[in-house]
Amino acid sequence: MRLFLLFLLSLAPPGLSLSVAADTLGQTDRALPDSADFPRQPLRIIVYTSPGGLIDFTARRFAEVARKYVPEQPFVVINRPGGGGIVAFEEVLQQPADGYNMLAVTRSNVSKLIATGRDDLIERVDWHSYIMENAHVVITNAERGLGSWPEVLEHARRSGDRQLWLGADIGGVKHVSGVKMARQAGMEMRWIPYSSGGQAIAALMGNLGSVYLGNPRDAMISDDLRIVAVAAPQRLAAFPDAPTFTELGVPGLENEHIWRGFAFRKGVPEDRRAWFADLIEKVSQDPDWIASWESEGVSLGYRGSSEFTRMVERDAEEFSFYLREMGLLRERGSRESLLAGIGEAPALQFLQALLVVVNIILAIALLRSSFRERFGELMVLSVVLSLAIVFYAMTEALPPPSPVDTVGARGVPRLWLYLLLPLALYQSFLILRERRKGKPKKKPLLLFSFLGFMTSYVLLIPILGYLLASLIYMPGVLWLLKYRHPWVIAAVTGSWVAFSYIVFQRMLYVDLPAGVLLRQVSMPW
Amino acid sequence: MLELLLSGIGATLTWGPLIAIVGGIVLGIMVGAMPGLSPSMGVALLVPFTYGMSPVLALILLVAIYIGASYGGSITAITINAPGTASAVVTAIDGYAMTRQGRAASALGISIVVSSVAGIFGTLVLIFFSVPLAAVAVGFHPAEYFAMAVFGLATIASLAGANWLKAFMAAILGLLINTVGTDPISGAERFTFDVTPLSDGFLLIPALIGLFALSEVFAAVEKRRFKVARLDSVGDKWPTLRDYWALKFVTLRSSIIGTVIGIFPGAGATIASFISYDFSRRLSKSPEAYGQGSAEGVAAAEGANSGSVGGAMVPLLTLGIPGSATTAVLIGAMMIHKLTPGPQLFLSSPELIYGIFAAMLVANIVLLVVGLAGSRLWIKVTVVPKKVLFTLITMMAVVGSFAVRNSMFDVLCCLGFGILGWVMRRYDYPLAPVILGMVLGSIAETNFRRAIMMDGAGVFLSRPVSATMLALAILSFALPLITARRARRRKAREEAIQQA
Repeated sequence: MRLFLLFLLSLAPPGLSLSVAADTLGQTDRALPDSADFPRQPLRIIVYTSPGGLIDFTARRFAEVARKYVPEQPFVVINRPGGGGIVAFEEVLQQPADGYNMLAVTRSNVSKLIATGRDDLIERVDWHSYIMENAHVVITNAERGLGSWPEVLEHARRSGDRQLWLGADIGGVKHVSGVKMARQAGMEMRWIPYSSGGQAIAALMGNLGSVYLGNPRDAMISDDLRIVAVAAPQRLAAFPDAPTFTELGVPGLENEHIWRGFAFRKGVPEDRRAWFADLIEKVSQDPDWIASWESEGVSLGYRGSSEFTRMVERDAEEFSFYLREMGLLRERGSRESLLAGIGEAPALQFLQALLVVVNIILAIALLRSSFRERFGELMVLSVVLSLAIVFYAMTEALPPPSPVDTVGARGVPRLWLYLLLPLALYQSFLILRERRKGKPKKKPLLLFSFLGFMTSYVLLIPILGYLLASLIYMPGVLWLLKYRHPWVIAAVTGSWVAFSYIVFQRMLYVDLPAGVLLRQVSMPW
Repeated sequence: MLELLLSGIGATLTWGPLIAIVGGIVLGIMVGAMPGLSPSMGVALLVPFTYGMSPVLALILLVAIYIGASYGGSITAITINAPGTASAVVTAIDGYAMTRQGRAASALGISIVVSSVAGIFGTLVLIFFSVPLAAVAVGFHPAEYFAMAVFGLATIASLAGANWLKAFMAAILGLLINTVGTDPISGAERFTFDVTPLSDGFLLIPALIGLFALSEVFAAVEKRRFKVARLDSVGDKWPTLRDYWALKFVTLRSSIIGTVIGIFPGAGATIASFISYDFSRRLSKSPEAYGQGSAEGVAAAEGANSGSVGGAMVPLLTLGIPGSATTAVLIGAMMIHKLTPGPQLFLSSPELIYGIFAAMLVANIVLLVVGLAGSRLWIKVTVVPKKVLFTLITMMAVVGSFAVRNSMFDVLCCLGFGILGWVMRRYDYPLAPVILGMVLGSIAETNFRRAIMMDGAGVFLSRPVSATMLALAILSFALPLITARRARRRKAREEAIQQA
């Protein structure tokens, strides 16, 4: 029993070591075949958001137009949301630098990576080409009586710091822009973060806030929405009635924008980089591509890697400055130690060690007591309680409540822990009070070997590859369950492996692990 | 309006759209039934194939996939206790219980019929009331979203049966699991131990597969439960028209709940199915059957699940705001076809809007036909030798959780959740509250904090809708506890009298 709980607890480290293994695997690049016949397999565009956002649309639109120029292989869009881009960046960095994995990037990545202390990722990718940008615009709900910038300003004066600006996440590129706008205009506002632009616009249309800060196209949703200020040097062609901040007498806001572009892992061979530069430039000038951005308030234009990299460096400096001023810059500990960066790391480690010892002593005591029959049940509760204590200790290191966010990152987890602790204690008390002899449970030996088998299968997949590991696992586990029909076993195994390979690898572009062993030899698929 | 709708139906009943609908429904059902593939992934995967189509045809195909996938999750939920989507968790509670009693045919029949009826209901609501409903949806304050999430959590009382303490702990476990990852408001990483994949928290799909499907396999292997029902004993117990008619009120109620809750962006099918299940149990004549294989329970869950599709399309078509992950993908697809969803689309191309409406009606009828025919096939899953089936389920769990984002980490999580689920089963902790907590946790937390940031902590009580919902939530949570206590006391008194 306890073994499995320990296994549960130890889930994180294997995950970590696995990702490390995958990382080193990526580093040992196999010899790249001659670039003359590039590309020989589908090209992947990794997007850091879920399907549906503007960058996702950009990538899919690009994939469609690029087909004209690369008819022999498709571009496949793959969504890897999470961590404001960290997940997508790491995915690309784990793949070989062979040019088959292209990362769709935006200016938002730069600010999020800095805000989360992962600016190392900015250094590790090759900012290959810039393709477009659009200015940030201030949108209001005209129905509410805020139809122009002076009205917004006047409303802000009347409401003190209570004017609500709806927008995207705290520390994101739009938040930084919003803070700059308020400062330049000499007003106060309260930033309300929403998880998607759509939800924030819905809130604006429902009169839950005064201002939404977003992209020009957001204003096209309804006639009630009005762009009252544009953070660009000139008015937008698609929205000729919307004035710029300069025209409105607010200086220093000519260049609040979001750009989009593509990046690669550093180290892609020069001829392939040139191949992509040529392709992306061609797509940038394609009439279909240009037509699809008409009336969106976007300014298109290809810029190559040296100019793009300089832009990113400038942005990184600017964001570091503003995020630090806004109190949002978090220093993060080194990534070598598992617990580094979590507040009082030694104290936490001591606490964890103490709880492990307490649990072991408790387990021994229980086994020798009259509660032996309820051993598992009590130990589960004890482990839950221990985990709750560790989690509680970890909340200490989370950012404390701020005047803006009075609950803060630690408030809600603590609330759940406050609820969990008494309940778990009460449940243990009920078991102890009952003194009922629980029915002794049989040792589930078959299950343990089944679990052991399955776990080793999962752990062997990265080494042997999905196909080989499965070909061993399926007959093995059926044999273990005493299923003795060799022909059926062979048929089931064969058809499942073929089915999963065709459907997942071929049709859904899921990159089933090929395995370290096979990678060393060659890639038959 | 009716003319437009009729001409839309006329246009839909031609070869092109019909093939798109049938193809979309079949593909959608397969996507939904495969644990690891969600409706939104299914729609996103098909978008590139629509480039060459006309915008109407493309949207018809994608909406058909959405409808098919929303139903497909219930097939594996019923037959092997592997809900393909979070909203099918509730279907699994009674549906799988029915399968284990040899009543899989009945559960499958009810789920498909109720799904199509609710789907048609949701579409009709979409056609006739979308504009006023959208106005309500956008005015929903974060305080009210929070209250709705709490209301959803209060349904634990219904899932708990006798054991509210364990159910409550399971839900809090889910809520805590949900706090792992990046804090949605401040962006701080919580409880991630510097493991990169955890910066996005534990993903729902591996958790679902592990908690339900894997733990079921583990429990069966532990007890060596390998006996297989014979096909002739399960195959011919399909529900009759009378059986369906007996569920008319549950179906209607769950369709309404599903459609209404589906309207609110971000809330979606999962909350709807839990709340609908709770409602039906409270109003039922036989609430004790819920959780033990109640046909009403399956109908309540499936009706809400399918009704929510129509609801989620309301903010999408009228305002251009996605109400669910799948509708977010649909917006992207519409942009690719140079359409901007929103009020203007109704004016500029009504034939497109009403074409979609008509296609949704037809698609639900096609779903009924395909689903009923298909059920005769899926029922055969229950007669596959258990040892082979269990092996295949473990394989499916591995590949399904890997496919979510090509990560072995998620496979390990799935295995971990499987063991957690097995431990919980062993000591009689219910599993559904964990998923409820994982789904509602972030909705509750972000809206709680957002509401306070906007208007201070008093806002929960000063807004009538949120105050009412919170009061109802407390009441619905407390009532079962009070009645249980009373019943215990009465029993004790009677026993005392008898002894005397």
